Amino acid sequence: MFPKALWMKEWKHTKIISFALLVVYILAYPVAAGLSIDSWKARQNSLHWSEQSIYEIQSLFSGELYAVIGVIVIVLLAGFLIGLEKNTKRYDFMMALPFSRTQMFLTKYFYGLIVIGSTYAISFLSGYLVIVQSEFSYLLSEINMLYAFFSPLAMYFVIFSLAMLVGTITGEVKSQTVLSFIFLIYPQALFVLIASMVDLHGGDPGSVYNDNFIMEDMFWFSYLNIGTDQNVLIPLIFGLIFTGLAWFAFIRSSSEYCGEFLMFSQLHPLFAILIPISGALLGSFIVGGVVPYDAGQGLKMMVYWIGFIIALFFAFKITKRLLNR
Amino acid sequence: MIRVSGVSKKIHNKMILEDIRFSVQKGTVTGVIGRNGAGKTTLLRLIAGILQPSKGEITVDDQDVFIQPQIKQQVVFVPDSTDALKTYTIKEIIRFYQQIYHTFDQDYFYELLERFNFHKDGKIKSFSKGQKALFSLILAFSTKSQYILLDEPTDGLDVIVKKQILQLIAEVVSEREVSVLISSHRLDELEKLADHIVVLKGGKVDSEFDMEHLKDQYRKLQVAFQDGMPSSLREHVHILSETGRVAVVLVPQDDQDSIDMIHQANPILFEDLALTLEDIFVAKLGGDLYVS
Repeated sequence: MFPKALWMKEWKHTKIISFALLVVYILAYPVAAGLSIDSWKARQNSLHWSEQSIYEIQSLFSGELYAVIGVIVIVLLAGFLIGLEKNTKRYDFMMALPFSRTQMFLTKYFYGLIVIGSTYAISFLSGYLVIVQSEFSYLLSEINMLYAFFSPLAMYFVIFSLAMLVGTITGEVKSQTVLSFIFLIYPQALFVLIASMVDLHGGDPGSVYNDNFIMEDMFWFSYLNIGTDQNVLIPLIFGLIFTGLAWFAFIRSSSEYCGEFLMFSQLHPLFAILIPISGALLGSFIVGGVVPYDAGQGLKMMVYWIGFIIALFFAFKITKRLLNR
Repeated sequence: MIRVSGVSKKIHNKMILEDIRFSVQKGTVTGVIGRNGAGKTTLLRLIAGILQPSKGEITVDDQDVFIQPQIKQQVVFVPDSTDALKTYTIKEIIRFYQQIYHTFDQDYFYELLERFNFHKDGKIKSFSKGQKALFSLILAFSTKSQYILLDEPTDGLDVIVKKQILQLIAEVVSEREVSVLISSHRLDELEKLADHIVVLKGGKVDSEFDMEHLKDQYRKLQVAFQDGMPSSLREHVHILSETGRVAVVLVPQDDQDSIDMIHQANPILFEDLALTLEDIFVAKLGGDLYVS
C-alpha cells in the first residue's frame, strides 16, 4: 500500500519544509518553555502571579504565535506535497510510475500526518519535560494535559486535510496555497460580511454572529485555546471528511488540467458564483467602512452598494481570468 | 504488446486524438510521426498512464494501464524534458529506480555511464541539455523494462548527442527484445531506426506502414530528357524535384506501364536512387507531414 519509492520521493521534495515545521514546534514548546521559566522566576513573587500563572501555562501549551506559524508551514507542506508537483514535470513523472493513484495519495497524506504528528509530539513532550523538571511543575496541574496535547493536534489535522483537499481540486501550488488560507476562515468571514450587511439594512446581526457551530466549532484556530473545552471530535470528523473528498478528487482528477486554477471544470460554476459574491461583500464592507459612524443611513447604504458594485465588477473580471486560464 | 484500441482524448472540449488504433510489437521500434500539435505527446502520455482516455482502452501485455498500474513496471516514459530528475544526484536516482523497477540493472547503468563519459556521482542538474537527454535514456534502458516510450528524444540536441542517442537505441533494441515507441517529427531519424511507422494527422491515424515493405512499394528514379519531361509522362509519375532537364520521380514498384513510358521517351539519364522515408511521405501525403 505504501511503496518505499513513493516515501523516498516525498522525503526528497519536502524534507526542508518538514524540518522547518520541527524548528517552529521546537521554538513553540521546549524553547518557549525554557524562556518562560526565566520570566516566571522574575515574576513569581508579584502580587497577581497566582492568577497570571494559569494564563501563562495555558498560553505556553497553546503554542501562541508559533502555532499560527505552524499552520502556515502545514499549508505550505500540503502545497509541497501536491501543488508544487503540478507546476513542474514531476507530476507527469509520478503519474507514469507503476503505482495506483490511491497509493500515491495515501503516501502523501500519511507522510504529511507523520511529519506533523511526530514533530508536534516530540516538541510538545520536550516542552512538558522542561516544565516538569522546573520549580513550576505545579502549574501543570492547572491544565488538562491530554486536552492541551490533542486539541491543537486535531486542529493541525483538520487544517492539513483541508489543504490537501484544496490541493487536489486546484491545478497548481499558488492557487492551492491561497485558497487553503481563504478556506481556513471562509465560513466565519462570510458570516461577518453577511452580518454587516444585515446590520446596515436594519436587521439583527446577532442572529448571524451567534451561530456557535460556524463561529466557534468550525473556527479551527479556536482549538489552539486550551483554556476552553471545545469538542475535539468536530475537527476530527471534518478532517476525515476532507480526507475522503481529497482522496476521491485525487483519483478522479485529470492530469491535463495541471497548471490551471482548478482541476475540475465541474467546479467552475461554483467558483464563478462564490468569488464575485464574496469579493463584492468584502468590497462593500471595506468601502462602507470609510463612512463616518454617525452619517445618515441613506449615505451608508449608498456607499455600501457602490462598493458592492465596484468590487463585484473587479471580482467578476478576476474570476473570469482565473477560470479561463 | 502495447495495444491502443479506439482511443480518443478530449481536452477542454477539443478532440485532441480520435479513435486511435495501433499496436507495438515486442522487439520493434515504432515511430509516431506528425506535425507539432498532431497529438504525439498526448498519445505517449496516454500510453504511459499519465492521461486517461476519454474513450477506448490501452493495454500492455493485455493489462489495462489504468486498472492495473503495476504493469507500468514494464513501461518507462522518457519525456522531452528532464526537469523531474534535476534535483537528484546519480546515487539517489539509482536508489530510487531500484525501488520502483525491480529489474533495474545497476551494473549495466554504470557500464553505460562509463561508455558515454559520465561521472558516477554528482547532481543531474549539472549536466548539459544533451547529457540530460542521454542520461534519461540510459536510466530508462537500465530498468530492463519491456517498453520504452520516448517523446522527441533528440529535439534540440546537437548532432553528436543525437547520433549517440540513436545509436544507443539501435543497440539496445538489437541486443534484447525491448520495444521502443518514439514520437518525432524528424523523418530522417526515424528512418534509421523504426520498423513500423504510425502517422498522426489532425489527431487521427492517417496511415501506418512497415518500413520493410514500405520501400518495396516505390522506385525513386533520376531521369533526364533531351527536351524536358514529356507532358504525357507527368500524369503517371510523382515528381519529387525538377531542375532543368533533370527530374527525380517516384513510381510505384508494380507500375511497369509508367516505367515503359519513361523508356519509350528515350531518357538521356535513367538511374535508381535510394528511397527515403521523406520521399514516400511526399508521395503519399503531398509533403504535408515533412517538417524536418
